[in-house]
Amino acid sequence: MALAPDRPARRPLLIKLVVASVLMFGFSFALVPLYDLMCDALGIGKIRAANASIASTTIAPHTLAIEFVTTNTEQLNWSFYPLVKSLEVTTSETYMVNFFAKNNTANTMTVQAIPSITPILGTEYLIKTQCFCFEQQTLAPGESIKMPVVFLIDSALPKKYSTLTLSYSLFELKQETASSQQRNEAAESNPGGRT
Amino acid sequence: MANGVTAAAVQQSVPKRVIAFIVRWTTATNHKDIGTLYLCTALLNLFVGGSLALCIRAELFVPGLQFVEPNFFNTLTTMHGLIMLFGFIMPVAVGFANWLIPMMIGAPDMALPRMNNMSFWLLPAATIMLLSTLFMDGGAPNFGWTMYAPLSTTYGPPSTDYMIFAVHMLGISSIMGSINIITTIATMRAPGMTWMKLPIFVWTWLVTAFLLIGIMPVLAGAVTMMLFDRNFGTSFFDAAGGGDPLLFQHIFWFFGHPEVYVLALPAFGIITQIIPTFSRKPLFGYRTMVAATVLIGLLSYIVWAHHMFTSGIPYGAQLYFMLATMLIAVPTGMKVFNWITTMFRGSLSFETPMLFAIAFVFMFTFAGCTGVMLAVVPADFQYHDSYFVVAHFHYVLVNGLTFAFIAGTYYWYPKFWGRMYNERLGKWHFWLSTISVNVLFFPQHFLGLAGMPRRIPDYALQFADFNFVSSVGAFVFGFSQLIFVYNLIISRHRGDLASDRVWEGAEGLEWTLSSPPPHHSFQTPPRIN
Repeated sequence: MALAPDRPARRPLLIKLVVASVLMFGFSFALVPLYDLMCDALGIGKIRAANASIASTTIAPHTLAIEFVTTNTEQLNWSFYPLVKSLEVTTSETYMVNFFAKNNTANTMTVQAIPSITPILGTEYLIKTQCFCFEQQTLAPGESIKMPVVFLIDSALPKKYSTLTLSYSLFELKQETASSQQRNEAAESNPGGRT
Repeated sequence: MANGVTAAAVQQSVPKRVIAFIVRWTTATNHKDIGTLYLCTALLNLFVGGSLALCIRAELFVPGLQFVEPNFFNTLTTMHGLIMLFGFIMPVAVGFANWLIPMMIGAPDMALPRMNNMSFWLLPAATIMLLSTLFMDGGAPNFGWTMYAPLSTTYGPPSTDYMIFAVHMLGISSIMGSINIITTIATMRAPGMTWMKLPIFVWTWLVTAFLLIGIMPVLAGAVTMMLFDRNFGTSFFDAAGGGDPLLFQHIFWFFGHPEVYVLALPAFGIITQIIPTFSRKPLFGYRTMVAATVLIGLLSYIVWAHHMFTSGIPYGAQLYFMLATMLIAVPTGMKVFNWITTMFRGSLSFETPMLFAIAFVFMFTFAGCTGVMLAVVPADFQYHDSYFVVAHFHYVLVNGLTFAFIAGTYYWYPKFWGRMYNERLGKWHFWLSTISVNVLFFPQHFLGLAGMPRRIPDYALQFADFNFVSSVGAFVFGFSQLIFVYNLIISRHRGDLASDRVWEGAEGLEWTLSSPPPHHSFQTPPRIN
């Protein structure tokens, strides 16, 4: 099996092929910055860049009034009201407001509050970082609770909205809905079976 | 082929013979031994992947959830894809390369026999690691063989890390195999075997090996980034950290599309060897065949985003990728034209390899046409992620490539083992497979056009009839492959002795060797005029 003398040498070819493999491995990582460059060149990044500029440009904060309103559905015999009726707020600053809820019935009940904001175009500027409306509340007969909402107003809110109204409607969750929603939440908090 | 078990070993006790057997195969460096190992592993994996596929078809037999729960269904589709791709089609192609390339170019062996041994043994190790994920807590990978982020990063089960490691090993194995093949072709050709005299099978593998060196490291990079995102807090594919999940799709398909041609080109090569033999005519258009092979290789690098038309890439990019994809139909069409023209006015005979080869040409061309349909952007918006796509790529991979590799197995079996396969069983295998595989995949086109999405364990009632037909075809197709295995096993000792040339019309250096060929194929290089 000796090599014929006229056979081309293997080593230079081997080195070239190994180097090519390593370079291609490097190329896959070079694709990361290349991808961003391509996005910019093709204008795909413009949307992202625009979003980024909104976040990064500081718009001067201004002040406005915010009011809190609550509604009970008629059949629901609960006390539900905000502890503060209105607030003078500065945009881009975080505030916390508490709501009071009490179960006046003789049964243990589960409820959930659904928020809405008036005028409706102001909705996307009111950012709730924590809210009792994200969860369900289960209260025993006669039990009461103080529920916080933490929010801030985006400075990009047009100045013509001098007052925003944040209103909550309280709904009873029937046993079935309550349990199925809990199941969904359990599934969401455990994505892909990862614990 | 020299058998390592010598007369002395036969007299030894059973455990010693078992050890001798294990040592003989684990330390094998001969190109034929490695080729046999690759082919046997591929056959085994074909049945592993096929069993997973039958589980899928059993679940889809009728609407509703029967046998498996949805998450396990997802792991079935994922593992079926990965095993069939990396465990069956790639190894079977490498197995043929190892057996045939040295014989076809007049060399005694591969250029780097010991590296060859290592690149083979990484394969079963990786396959076992991949399969072991099925038994892990949290289940096997369930995000599809395309491993899209964030399904595979944020939401992937813990076993994903094992899959990543298995993909790394498979990548190293393929790269080493490719380096070996290129070096063999470049430096071991017999005197007078110029580039333009190489058999087309060798040409297709040369281009395939270059494709593999170009893309396997990119896949390794993609899964490495996945590994980092999962375990080391990087954000390559996580938008929350400044990354982009779409980037994964780009990197993946930069690997994924040439990969299609990595699988297809060796199959083209096999068909190009078989058709002239049974047409008793030289190949029509050798030069255009070589040119088409190289062109397909080059074009395959610049069409990847046609897998991502619905991902929101810009209009101009869609237009470019649509046109570039359609351009690939040109060199592929040249090949089909050459195959048909080779058969034209030939004195054809229809032995089993030729039957499979003709079926390949017919069904692969059909698969190419549905491919062109999918390349059309507006149409793709409807077909995307539907059963139409499933039908298309199964026509490519099963009706096309798998048929080509079966054709190759029948064609070279007498050369490899010195005995003829059973022709009657071969014909039964052919007709059962060809009819059932069309019953299996053809209705899936209609399912896709009617809107059935892929990768779902349950479906709406209107899809029931076609799914029923498809599942019947699947089981007939699956079990008719047992005829194939039975034929291969019994013919090994009971088949008729094969002559050196085997086929009346066979041309090429491998047919000048004895059947089976000697341990070192060409001790003295043949002269080619």
